[in-house]
Amino acid sequence: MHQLYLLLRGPLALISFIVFIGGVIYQIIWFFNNTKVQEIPKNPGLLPSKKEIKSFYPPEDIKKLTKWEGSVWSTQPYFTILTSIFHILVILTPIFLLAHNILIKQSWGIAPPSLSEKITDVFTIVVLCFGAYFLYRRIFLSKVRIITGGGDWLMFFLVFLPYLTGFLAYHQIFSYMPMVILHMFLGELMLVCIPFTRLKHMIFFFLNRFYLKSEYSFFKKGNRVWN
Amino acid sequence: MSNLPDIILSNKSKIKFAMSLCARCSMCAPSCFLYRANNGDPTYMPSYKMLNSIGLIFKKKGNLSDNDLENIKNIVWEKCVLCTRCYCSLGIDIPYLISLARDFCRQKGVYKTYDN
Repeated sequence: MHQLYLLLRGPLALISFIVFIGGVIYQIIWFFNNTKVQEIPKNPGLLPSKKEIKSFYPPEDIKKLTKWEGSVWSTQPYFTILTSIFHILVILTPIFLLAHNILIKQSWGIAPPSLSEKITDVFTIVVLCFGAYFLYRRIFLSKVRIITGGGDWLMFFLVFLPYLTGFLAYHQIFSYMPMVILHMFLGELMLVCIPFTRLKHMIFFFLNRFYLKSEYSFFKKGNRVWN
Repeated sequence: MSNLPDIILSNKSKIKFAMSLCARCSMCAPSCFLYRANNGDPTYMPSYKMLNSIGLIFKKKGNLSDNDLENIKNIVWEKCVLCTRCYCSLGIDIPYLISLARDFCRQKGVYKTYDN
């Protein structure tokens, strides 16, 4: 069992990081190869200028139209806040977890900043609570259930099982060694799967919303269209 | 064997990308006025319509049964008016993909008629 631990801690950890980073780079290159910049004349003459638009509507209406109206912030504000918190925590927790960073220091000599164990423990509990909520949505809400397939369950378990096993290992609820080995395996599996499964929305959320030309492009800066 | 028309093949990367990216979160649901007008019937949800029209066409490489085509016809003409108001938090262009499904149906001679 100790051999397996060393394998997961050493070469397999390194491989999973390489596959993850390589996969992310591959997806970014794929995105830019399959999209192109669409130049738009500054004012083609048919469209009203910004100054003219301002004269049509009162400023509060423009703010409403351009920022919130029609987006998930207006249709589902509470769920949007909750899911934003979840996504932030799911990324921050493993990065700033003390035990992970001690292993990184021992292996590669780099000491990334860490949060206290108490804080990351609370973060993990919050992530697991979100897991239970998302599980409830997938099973009991017809609007989610109707579009749920095998890939979605894979995504669900790939994300939450590393957190669950990590929590159980940290609190030594079951036998520590098998649990920590399972945790390391699942964590590395998640890392490898991010660029190649539905979890790639982690990368493409930013690429799509910042670079693609769309009504809802962040800061209205997106100027790329698909080839 | 693929039975996809050029309009679908020329948008292959975009369709494939959207199908693999959609997180099935259903956050697009309330952005569709037909979903709201039909008491939250999930078959009016933009992601459901996208996955079960162009998604199905792409998955089956265009080799669809008459029943599949009838279902897609119902989705792309009866359940979507292409008002382009639906909103995907991941930035998937759902109306464009549904319009591709309409193109496919037209090429197969399946379209909305107003005389019955």
